[in-house]
Amino acid sequence: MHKKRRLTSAPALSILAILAIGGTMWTESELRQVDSSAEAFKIVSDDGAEFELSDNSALPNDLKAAVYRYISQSNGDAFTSSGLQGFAEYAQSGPETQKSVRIYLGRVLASKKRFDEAKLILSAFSAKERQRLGASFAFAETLKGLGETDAAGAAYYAHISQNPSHQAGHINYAILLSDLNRHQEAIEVLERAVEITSGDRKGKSYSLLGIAHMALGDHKAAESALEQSIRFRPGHGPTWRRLAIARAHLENFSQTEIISTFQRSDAVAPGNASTKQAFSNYYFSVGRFDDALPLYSDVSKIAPEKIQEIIQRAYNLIASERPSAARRLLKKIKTQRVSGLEKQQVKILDTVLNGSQAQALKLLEKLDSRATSGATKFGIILASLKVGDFDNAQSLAQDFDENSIFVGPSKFKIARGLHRAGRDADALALLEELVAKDSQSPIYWLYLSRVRSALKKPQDALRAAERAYALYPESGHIAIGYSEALSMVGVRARAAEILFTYLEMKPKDRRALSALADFYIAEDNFDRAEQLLKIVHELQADNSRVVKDLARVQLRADRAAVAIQTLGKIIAQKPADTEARLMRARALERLGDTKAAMSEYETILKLDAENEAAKTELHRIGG
Amino acid sequence: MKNMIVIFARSVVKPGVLLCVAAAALLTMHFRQSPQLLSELKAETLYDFTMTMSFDGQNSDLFVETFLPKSDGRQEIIRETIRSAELQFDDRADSNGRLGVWTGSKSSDIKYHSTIALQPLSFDLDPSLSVPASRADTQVYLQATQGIQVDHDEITELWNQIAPSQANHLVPVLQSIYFYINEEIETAPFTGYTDAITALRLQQASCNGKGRLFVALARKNGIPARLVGGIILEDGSKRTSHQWVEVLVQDHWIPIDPTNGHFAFLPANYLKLYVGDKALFTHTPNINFDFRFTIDQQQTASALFRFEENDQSFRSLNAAELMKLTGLNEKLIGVFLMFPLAALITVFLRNVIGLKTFGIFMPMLVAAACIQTGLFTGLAVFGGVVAFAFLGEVWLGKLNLLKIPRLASIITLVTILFIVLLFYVGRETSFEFGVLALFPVVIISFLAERIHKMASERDFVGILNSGTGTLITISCCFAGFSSVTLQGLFALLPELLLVVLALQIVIGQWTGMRLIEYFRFRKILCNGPVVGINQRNLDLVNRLNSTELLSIATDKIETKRRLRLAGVPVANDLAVCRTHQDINKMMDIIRRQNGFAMKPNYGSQGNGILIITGQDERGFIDSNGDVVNSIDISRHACEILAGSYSQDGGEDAVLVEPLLRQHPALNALADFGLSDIRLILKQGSIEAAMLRVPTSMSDGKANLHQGATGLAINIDTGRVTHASQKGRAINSHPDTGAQLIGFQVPYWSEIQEIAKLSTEAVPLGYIGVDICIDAVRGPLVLEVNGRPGIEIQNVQGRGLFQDVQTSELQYA
Repeated sequence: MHKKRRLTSAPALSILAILAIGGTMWTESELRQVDSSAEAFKIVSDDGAEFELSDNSALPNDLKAAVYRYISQSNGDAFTSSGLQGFAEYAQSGPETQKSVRIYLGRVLASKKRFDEAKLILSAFSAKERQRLGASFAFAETLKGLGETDAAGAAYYAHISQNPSHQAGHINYAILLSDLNRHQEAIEVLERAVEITSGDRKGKSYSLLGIAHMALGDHKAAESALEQSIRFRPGHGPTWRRLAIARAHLENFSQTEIISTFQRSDAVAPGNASTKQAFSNYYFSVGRFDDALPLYSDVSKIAPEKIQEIIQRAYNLIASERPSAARRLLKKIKTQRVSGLEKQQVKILDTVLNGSQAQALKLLEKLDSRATSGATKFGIILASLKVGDFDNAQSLAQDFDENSIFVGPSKFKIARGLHRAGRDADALALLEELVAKDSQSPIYWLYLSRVRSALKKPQDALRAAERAYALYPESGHIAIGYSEALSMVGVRARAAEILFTYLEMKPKDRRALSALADFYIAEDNFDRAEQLLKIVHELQADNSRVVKDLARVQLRADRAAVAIQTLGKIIAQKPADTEARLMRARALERLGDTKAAMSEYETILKLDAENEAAKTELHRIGG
Repeated sequence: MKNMIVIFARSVVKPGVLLCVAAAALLTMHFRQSPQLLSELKAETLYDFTMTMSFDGQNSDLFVETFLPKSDGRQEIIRETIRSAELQFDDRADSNGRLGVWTGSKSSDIKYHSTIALQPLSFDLDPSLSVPASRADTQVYLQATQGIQVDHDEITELWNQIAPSQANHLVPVLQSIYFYINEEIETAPFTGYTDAITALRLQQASCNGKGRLFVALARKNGIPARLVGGIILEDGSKRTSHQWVEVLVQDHWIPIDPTNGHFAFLPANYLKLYVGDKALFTHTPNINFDFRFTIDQQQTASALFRFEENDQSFRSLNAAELMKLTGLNEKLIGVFLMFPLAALITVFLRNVIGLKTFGIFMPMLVAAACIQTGLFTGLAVFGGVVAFAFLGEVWLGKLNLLKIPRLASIITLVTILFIVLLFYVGRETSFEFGVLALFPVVIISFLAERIHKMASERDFVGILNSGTGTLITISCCFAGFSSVTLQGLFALLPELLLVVLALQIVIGQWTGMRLIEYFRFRKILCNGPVVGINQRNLDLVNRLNSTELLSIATDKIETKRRLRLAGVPVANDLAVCRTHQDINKMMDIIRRQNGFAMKPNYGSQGNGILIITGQDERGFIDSNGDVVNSIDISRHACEILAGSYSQDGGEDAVLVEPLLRQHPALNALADFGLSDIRLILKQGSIEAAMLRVPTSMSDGKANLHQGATGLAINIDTGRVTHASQKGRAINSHPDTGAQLIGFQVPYWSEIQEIAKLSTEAVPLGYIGVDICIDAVRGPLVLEVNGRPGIEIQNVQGRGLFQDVQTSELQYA
């Protein structure tokens, strides 16, 4: 009888509620399931030496067991043949089998890194016998393990000569040769290794070959070998990294290609500090300091103890014009334990960031720049720039190896210093050289634009600024630089548009707001300029420059009374600010209060008796 | 078609529908801007970690140092507080950890608390990894130390025994060490320092000894390794910290815990505090230093504490982030966000299911408080406190206190109980007693008062019903409050509150029968439409009765004035007492009376009515036969004046009427108490009528729910057609045995007239008129009721209205 409202009756609603509760409870149980496992972070091998199980002997198992028993009972005593006599299996064997047993003992000891004992056993045999009984590789490993590298090299050589198809022997010999800086020989061995290996091992051989070529500076051959390696091991991150590094040294690869290779390396082995370090160093070397920032930050997260990398990160911050962030980082470095060389670098960094010119000079006197690392040298260049010693900076910059990551950044810092010192012609040459080589660096283009502007080449400056803006429109420096360049050639509307676009992204950027205010001043739109400057003033109330700009705008807008109030705030904070007082005096004059203006001029002269402007004005009024 | 458009237009303009449409639009916008939004609903375990330290100062320069949690890629400190009274606190972080230092000259308790989110950490090590080559920057992790005797002969000997065949392969080397220490070294509860050699010699060690032995063996193999100290976060209170190790592989520190069997894996509940072979605490000697860790883990919606920084757009709008501005923590924000939903649950349970609860939103508040304690602990504590308050109420009742001071006394007693509890067990347990403050003591006091009253009326079924309803409501609200799904949803999609609001409005307009009413009226459901309480309230009371008239109906003095003016017979007023000054005059009057009824003017449901049946030399005799003296009567009057029985708790007046003696015809049915007749009128027309006859079960009161018999009256004839007691059909009176069916109500036509006249005097559209038949004066109106109950339907064995169409009522 209750058909009419059955769907909204209490039983129906209760069933609906039960269903809703059931659904929520099911979702709840799903969401609450604790995932106690974590996604495993994969750490792959980075082409170390090859190892082989020594248990490939044809010896009967009872004899092998006797060897293991003997080893476990030895307690570090020297092994002797007589010691093995205690084992019936050994004692009852023939002389040839006993030799095999002793060889086996030596191999097992070598595999357990008990090299002293292994050497004792194995050196009792002649090279031929070791070869015949299959212990030449173990002997070479033993000598290498004991640090007898020359002897180990000879032993490896003997081993591979007799075993021309032994893969591990070739690889380990090549690694030893590389460790001994005998890269050419390593290459020859590895070329053979490539021939005899297959699959993953072939990839590794190619990779090692690439490393050896790189060590010899033959990046083309290295790139070719590494590319071959990738064919066999497409998921091996370190090889991709090396390939990217090799390509970075070759001119026939574009930045895009190099970056994509680095990205691939990062993708196949995420979280690898070496890869991120190499990638960030690459960005640093080509002047893409902003792109390097997050990568350096990742390196610090993965390996926070690596001081050298943190110092490099600080240099990148300095290069990207973030001295405050660099100072914060320096504070962090100072809490870490550092080695002797690192201590020196921290000292240089501290002087560059926090020291006075005198301190920088003192430091430079103490430092010997000739025998220093790239990073230290870069630090010295920065210190030299701090004291205005451009010659020293330039001479140090020329000392860098051509493949050093500091070449470009050093030249950039010098160019920037020259520009600030008014030596724009010198700066121009350096910057043009830089952009010719690293055309993707937005900051290089930005400074080129600034230098060209200073040299009164507005069209050229605009072209450079356009390039910078195209590369990195999110940067406030660049947006403002581009806007200034546009204003210089009279394209004011576009200049304002650029600033508006940027302010949409960062509406509280003080520099952009000030730049936009300048634009309105130039347009005689003082009200709008004043509005903007007031926003800036709210953001940076203690910045007297902003307050003065605001007062200046107010004066230009014939609002002298307001300007006097504005200036009063600065003078209340800094009573000795003669510039503000001068502005106030002129504002008073404009209001017709000559007496107060004269009093202000007199105050200025009390503070600074040599103030020409005050003298002139006072003379004018008095006259 | 036209009709459909009209129906559609009507449904669209309903506020509930409009709100749902608005919510749907906002939800669509939200999801279009952020399609992955729901993936943020996942629950995360948050650990509340408290470290308490205490010491005796002896007035010297004191210091206490300990490592404090520090955020890194795996662990994140959501919030922390440090309390250390007059001690100076400073912290400094370096590569070893974050060191907290307290200095001062006075002893003090130090309490560090933080809420931490932790992730498990796992590494998959390539089996072909080789033992790393020595590097200058890792030398420090390869060196021998006093407790990590890398170059000791016994370490060498051990390694010779356990070295794997591939001793240059990193993973086999680490596994050999790990399995040896995990399986061969017995775990012992050593509390002191155990170096590597001691662990080896004893073949027993605690975590620190095992860790040192591991590090020694790893370093011996050229693998950079270090000890790590921290705490395993498990619910409860403890004093043990833990140490495990880390080995450096390709710039990653790989965790290994040989004590608890974790290789290249760190469970989520491992809180890392420091690295290196260090002591967790360092302090001034001889200061009786003591410490304790307390941990409480709770799953929380990640949306309550993980916010997208620097994004103020609608896409990333998060209500919880905004609520952070209030300074509340995640738990309370979650509770706060759920209040509207808990209110909806309460409304649903009351208005759709029909549960009765003690207080309307009291269960919701109790459920919110239970979030801090857990449901069962919270309910146990709450039950205990209510029981204590009830006993206090009983005791204070014996002291014959006025109601308001009595309630105030209960509040004080409950507060004293908290303090006593804190004194005895507050320091000994991890339980946060502070949360008990959330149990509103005022509500508890009122609750105790109400339970006391129900108990004194022997309404144990009512207590059971309301108690069960309260428990169910608390549990449902608790489920809502503690749901991470719902908390996450409301934080990420605050527009869902519009849906909640819409549902609340829809329930507010819903006139269907409550689920429990299907049971209550189960015997008459087939006899035509039945009016439920929702329908009564919405379609009858709200629609037909103005608020002004309803308030007049609750004012007995004013009602009687209006009835008298309309010529309706009502009981005489012996005295009306509006102020305390009137009490003496009233007492003079009532001393001259043989019997009288004292009523609160704004009372309801018989509350506060004192019936005096006579006087003797001992004093007044009440309806139970007990002696009541003048002081008791004047105190009762004072209570009435103070508003103890008024419906809104405001000031009241005392109304004294002569004791009515019922008509002899009614005495034939039951010669005790006062029977009355309830007539229900709708817009002046009598719709239903019943005679309520007291029984011994109802304690002489004509109250149906207390067990009085209800007799349905044929409106045309005035004859009883049907009788029931507590929903059970009866034919004769349960006490007197008098035949009920067919009983002719005396003065029936006069009674009908009086009822109709009453609706003219107090023109309520829907009204219940209660009439008694006095032995001398005949029918007298006792009171009019603007919200008459619906139990009359069970009495008459059919719905309230015969003709549904004309009554404009709808089916349930």
